[in-house]
Amino acid sequence: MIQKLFIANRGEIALRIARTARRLGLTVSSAFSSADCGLPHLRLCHRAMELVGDPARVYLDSGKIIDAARKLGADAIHPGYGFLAENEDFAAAVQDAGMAFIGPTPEQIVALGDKVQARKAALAAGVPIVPGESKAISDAAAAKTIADRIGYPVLIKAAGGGGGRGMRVVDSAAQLPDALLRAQTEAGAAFNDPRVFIEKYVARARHVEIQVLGDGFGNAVSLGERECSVQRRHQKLIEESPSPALTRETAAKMGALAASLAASVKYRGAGTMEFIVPFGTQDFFFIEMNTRLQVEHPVTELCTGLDLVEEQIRIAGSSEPQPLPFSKPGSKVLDIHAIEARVIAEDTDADFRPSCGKLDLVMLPSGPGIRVDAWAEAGLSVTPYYDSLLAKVLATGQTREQAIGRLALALDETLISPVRTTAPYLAALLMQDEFRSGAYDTGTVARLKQSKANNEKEAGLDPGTAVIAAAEKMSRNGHSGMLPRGPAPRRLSSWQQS
Amino acid sequence: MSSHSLVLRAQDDAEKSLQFTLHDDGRVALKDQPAVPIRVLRRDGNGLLTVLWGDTIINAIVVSSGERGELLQISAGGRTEALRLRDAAIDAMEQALAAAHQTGGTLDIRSPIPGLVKAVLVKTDDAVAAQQTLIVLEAMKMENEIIAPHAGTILTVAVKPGQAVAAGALLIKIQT
Repeated sequence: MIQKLFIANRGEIALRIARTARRLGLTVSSAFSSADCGLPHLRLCHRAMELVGDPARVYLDSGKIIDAARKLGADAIHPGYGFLAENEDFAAAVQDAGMAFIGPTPEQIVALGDKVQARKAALAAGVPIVPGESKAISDAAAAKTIADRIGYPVLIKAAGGGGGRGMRVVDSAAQLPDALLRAQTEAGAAFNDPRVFIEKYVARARHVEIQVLGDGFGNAVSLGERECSVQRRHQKLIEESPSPALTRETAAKMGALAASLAASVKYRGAGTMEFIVPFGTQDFFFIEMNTRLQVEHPVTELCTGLDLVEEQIRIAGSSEPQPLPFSKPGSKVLDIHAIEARVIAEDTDADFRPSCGKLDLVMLPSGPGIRVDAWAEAGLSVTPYYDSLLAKVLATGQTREQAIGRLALALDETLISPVRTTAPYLAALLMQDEFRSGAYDTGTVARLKQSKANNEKEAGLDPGTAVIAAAEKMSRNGHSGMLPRGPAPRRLSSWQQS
Repeated sequence: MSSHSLVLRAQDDAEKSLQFTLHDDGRVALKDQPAVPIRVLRRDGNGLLTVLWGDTIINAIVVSSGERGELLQISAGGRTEALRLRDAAIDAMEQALAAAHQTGGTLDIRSPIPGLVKAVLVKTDDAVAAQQTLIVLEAMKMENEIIAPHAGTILTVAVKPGQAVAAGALLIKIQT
């Protein structure tokens, strides 16, 4: 049984974990960098201490974190996401220090976090994978053999990490040697691991993922999918569930296969299997697994009524198989649509450049069907040291339309100044036909941006892109103190039509 | 080193006195307890106060309540209590707390109450001793001395005589 939980993270996820831990009656502690002493999760902690040192590095310092957790008397560490969450050495060191690591075993982090190994495990469990070669490649000749076999275009990917780094699309054999070298260099710099591999490039794809939960003893369940195709440079902006692209049969099949893959490795805790779905098809291919809680996990919580952090704590604290939710035949799953938007401190008007500084005004939305996970509060500062996610704004509805309408209004109500955020941009994006219809893919955001640029060049804005333009104007004006009342975004919103 | 008393008002409205001593280095000792370092993690103009007492987090909302002193709603260790600080104990505590962790850094001296600056007794680059009067602030027809909680050098004087200031307004910055 876990009784004293140490949170090895900051920001919204630290607050989210602290809330569950407090509700479960645990003693909660955390350690903060010199830049983070005002963060709201500390108010929910019983005990805390400072991590002395460079604020940009202290949360990655496994030794300092474990030392702090020990001093504060913790018996378990929750790593959140990012930082040390998928670091097998950290997971092992936590266990060696006599504490529980809330997540999978170090061996599972290695086996599933590495994309080459994960492809092998998926293949063994009968899960379809993207056509390609499940081994790291080193020289151009080997790469050419593989690429010729699977056919161009191909994608070179880093084995050791994601986020678009070490990734190259190659259209022809002529581009291959150069692209390979650059991908290897980039992967080496980003992940300290230059290994890359090649798979078929799906030009127009959707990104759908399955939340799984395993008991660590060979039982695992799927908790449904999340559609994450609204991305900008591989960064997710909006996530929703159920996916508007999948039939319920396809979603169920994908979930069952993901659960069987998790079960086959005796996966412990919460994890996410990512799939790509070629646009307009019901085909799906496993790409990788994230062995941690994801940023967008609240989408699943809203659709299932579960508290995933509670499930993680329950599973990590037990030496026996814990009953998994929805594992009994006929378990009731909520019939709800949930959607999340990431409010990030970025200037959407200046190519999404990070926007730092003191938050003078922070007004977050609420209302029927709204959930907000946020650390942003007036008086605090967005520092350049960390990920710039300020808030996750989520909405649920009995229908997708209702959920989107609620989220659009909630994003309008989100007033943050003078730091610039993605809120107005995302509110406008929700109104785009391509999003509203559900027929979007991972290239949608880039295409909308391109079509806006073309239209501006021709000096004629079409009504759709005018919405984006209006939103960008709003964000340029700093959104300060008043609800924006631009005519274009309002005209299209569902909550006014209904 | 100075002694202060906190009056702890429990749920049943019974008041319990809590004696504590502030050390010059900012450590705070409860009566019959060893002194521990204490640090203000956050204090906002709206009354929010988060304090790290040793390694224990204490949250408070500071509400100005006139003649009976400042009322704090305190939660520590998962419990929420109302806490009343007599006299100017809260200012002394806060300034001492800040000073303890500001040694070698800068220390902001803020107005504890809304008022009118009657006199500014120091200027930029002056060396000041602990307990030296920096500013005289008139509030409720009383003259209140704002003192340096720590020795240091004046970095900035943010107000002028005759100026009205709000509670929490920056008065002076000291290099400690």
